[in-house]
Parts: sequence; structure tokens; C-alpha cells
Amino acid sequence: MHNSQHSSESEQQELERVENLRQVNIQLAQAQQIAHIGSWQWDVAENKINWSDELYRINGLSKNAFTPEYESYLNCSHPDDRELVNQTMQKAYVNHQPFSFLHRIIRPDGEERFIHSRGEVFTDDKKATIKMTGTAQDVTEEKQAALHLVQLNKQLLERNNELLRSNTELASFSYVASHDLQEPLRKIKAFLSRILDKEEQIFSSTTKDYFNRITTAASRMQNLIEALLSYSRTNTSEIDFKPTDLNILIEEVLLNLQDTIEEKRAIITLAPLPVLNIIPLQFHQLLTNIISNAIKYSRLDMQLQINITAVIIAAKEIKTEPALANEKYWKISIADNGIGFEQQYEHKIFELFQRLHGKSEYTGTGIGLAICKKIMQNHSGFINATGQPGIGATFNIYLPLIAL
Amino acid sequence: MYNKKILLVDDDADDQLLFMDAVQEVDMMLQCEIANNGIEALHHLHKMPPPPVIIFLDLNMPLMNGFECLETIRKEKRFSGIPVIIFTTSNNPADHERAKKLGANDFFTKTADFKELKAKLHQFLKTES
Repeated sequence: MHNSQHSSESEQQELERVENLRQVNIQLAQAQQIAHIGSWQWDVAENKINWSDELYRINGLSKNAFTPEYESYLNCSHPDDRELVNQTMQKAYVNHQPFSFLHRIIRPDGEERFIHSRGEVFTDDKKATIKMTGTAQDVTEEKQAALHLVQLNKQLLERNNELLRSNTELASFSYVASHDLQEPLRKIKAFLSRILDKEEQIFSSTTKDYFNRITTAASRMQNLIEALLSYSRTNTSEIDFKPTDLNILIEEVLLNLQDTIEEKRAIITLAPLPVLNIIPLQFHQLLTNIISNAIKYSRLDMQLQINITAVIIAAKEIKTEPALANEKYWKISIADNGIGFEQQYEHKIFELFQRLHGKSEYTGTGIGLAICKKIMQNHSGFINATGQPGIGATFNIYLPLIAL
Repeated sequence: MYNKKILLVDDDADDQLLFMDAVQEVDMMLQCEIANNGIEALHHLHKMPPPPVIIFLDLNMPLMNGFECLETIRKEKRFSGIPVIIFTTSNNPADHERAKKLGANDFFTKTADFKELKAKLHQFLKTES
């Protein structure tokens, strides 16, 4: 009674142990399946090789139809990788060194998989190899993702180069085109003026009118070509950055525009401006274009006022530009009380050949503000504008704040 | 006797016409010889004495361009003193620099304004007489 009780207790314990072991085995198999890691053991003394279920699955083999042997293991490898696998295993066997390497296998259905194999060698006290054990991880998805990434990177690089090439081509094209276009136009204008000099007295009034229209069109074309030329020049020449006192630069700009400023009786107020590291010629053009615009698009019934101010602003306060490279920016604003514009057209006005007004209302080439945009890009900055019809426009230029 | 002459070296027929018109209006008595390229210019200089009082030289021309022509003229002693004015559409500073180094006396960018052409021509001729 006592004895049988004891025996059934130990039987109970044994059953529990077996059940525990079964559970652990199930967990291990599940873990292998989830991680796509199979394992193997090679008992050298008995020359017995044992594969885990997941290793069969990875190799696309059925447990019943395949007996794992060293030769058959090699045969699972991709023919091109078989030598690598063999040598790595042999080396590990002889040198008792652990190994870790990448190779391909081919499943019976022909599918190719990438495998990361790792293994270790166990020896007896006479340093003879008695056991090798290892894992094989199916890394096909990771490998393909990495290959895909490499491919994408290569494509990106190629596209970048293409873009760079076409940009350079476009720049030189627009330069050459506008330069060569100037030539015939110069002659048209020269001969027009010759005809006018010699024959004006005998022109009929209709001829005179037609002639004036030709002359006006030729002048307009000249302006367009010159503006286009200066637009393409902002690409190529003059990229010398120099610390420049904007207070002095703006005085020069205003002096150049003196006649039109006086004609309009514009009042211009200047706040103290900073010294910035800029391309002086380009900045001169930028400010000239913006101030000329303010003068051109002024209201007839009101005295024109232009206020120029400069402040330092944190990047996060600039809502219009989401991803800014620098923390702080100089913001220089040129505000006028002119005819303004509808805010929805803000981006349009900075595009090449975009005009908000008819040619007969306001003269202009539709290139000036595109040049401004380009110049700010050349300075790692940007430009934007706010406007209200009939009230005025403000152009803001932003430059990264950097120590000079 | 009045037999002053000037030489225009330019392959552009329109510019030749405009230039000759301007010369006529500036000085009716002035003779204007035309060469279509550098080779013709050198030919003129060698075959037609007396030498011109001034040479107007285009840069971009077939067979022999303005730079080569200028270089050759400056190498020859009897022509080395003739003022050479570069007359071109180019306002490339590098071209200016190169022409100056080769011995050009001045630079004159072709203009659409006939009055300006005459005024410049007048100015250059006055300096030479």
C-alpha cells in the first residue's frame, strides 16, 4: 500500500516531467517556426544527423521522404554556393571554430532562398570533434528588402545625375538661346531705326501706326530676352559669397532707382539692416526687382510707401515652410501700400512667365520674381509674399542665420 | 589729298551695311574697306597700301577668327601700331581680357542703336586723327 503509493507518486512526477518536456519542445518548434530558424545536430561519433521540423520546412522537404546526411545537406545548397558551404563546414570541423555565413539553397520546387547559417563544434578532451550543431535562418525577405533598397538607391542616384545633367543642359540652353536670339533682334531694331531716320516723313499715318507697333514689339522682345538671359545667368556665373552690409547695398539699389522713386514720390523707410554673407550682385538684383515691383504696382490715388525691415526669426515660427534646415533665419521684409494681390496667387507670381495683369495695364516680363526665387535658392534661403488687393503687398526674404 | 581709309573685318553682311552707313554719315570722305574674315583682312593689309588708320575687328568669324587675326597683325612690325578696336556682339569679360592681352586697343559691343554706333565711330576716328 505504502509502496504502491510511492510508486504512483514517482510515476506522477515522471508523467509531469514528460509533459513539461513536450510543452518545451512544442514551444521551441513554434519559436523556430515564427523566427524561420531551423536547427540541426550532427553526432559525429555515431554519424547521425538530426534536423528540426523548421529546417525541413525551410528546405521545402518532407520528413518522411528525406534522410538528412552531409551529402544531402550539401545538395540542398545552390550549386554556386555548394563549395562555400562545404569549405566552411570542413574548416569548422578541423579548426573547431564557430561559423556564421550567408548562402543560398534551392527547394525541390526550384525556389531560391537565402539562408544565414551559424554553427558550433564540440570536442572531447583529446580535441577530437564529437558533435556539430547549428542553425539555419531563412533571411530571404530581409535579403530581398536589402537588395531592393540597394536597387532603389542606385535608381535614385541615376535619377539625380539625370536631373543634374538636364538642369545644366537647360541652363546652358536658355543662355545660348537667349544670347543668340538677341542677335537677329538687334538687327531688326537697327534697321527699324534706319528706316525711321530716312523715311519717316513719307510714312502714311497707317504705316506710322504699324511701324510703331513693330518697334514696341521689338523692344518688348528685347526686354524679355534680356530678362531671360539674366535669369539663366543666376544659374551659372557669379557665385562669390561675401559679407555684405545690406544698409550700403540698399542705398545703391535706391540710387539706381532714384528717377522712378522721385517720379512716384515714393516714401521709403529703412530699418537698420544686417551684414550678411551673400552674393552681392545677385542680392542687388533681388532688391532691385522687389522694389521696382512695388513702384510698378503702386496705387494711383495714394502716395507710395515702402517699408524695409529686418528681424531674426526662429524656423518653427515660419509656418509656410515645413522642413527648414536651419534653426534661425534673417527675415527681411519689403512692404508696400500698392495694389496688392489675392493671396491665392502667391505661388504663381514666383513662376517664370506668370503675370497677374495684362501687358497693357502694367509692363513687365513675368521673369523678375522668378529671378528673385532663384537667387534666394542660391543663398539656401527662400522668398514668400503676402498680399491684400487694394491694400498692399509684402515680400519676405529668408536667409539662414550663420556666423560670419 | 584725303585718302584715309579704315578696315572693317566682319563676316556679317547686315553689320557691314550698318557700319558703312554709319561711316558715310560720320565722314563722307572716309574710305571703308571690308574683309569677311581674318585671312581676307591680312590679304587687304598686305596688298593695299597705305595701311588703314584704324581696324574694326569682329571676333567670331570663319576661317580665321578675330583673336588669331589680331595676333598675326601685332606680330608684324609695320602693322603693330595700327589701332585695333574689337567690334563684336560678345560682352564676355573673358573675351575682353584675351583681346586686350593680344594687343586690342578698345572694345566696342555691337548695338541696335544706330545713333550710338555713329557716336562711337566718331569718337574712335577723332582719337585717331
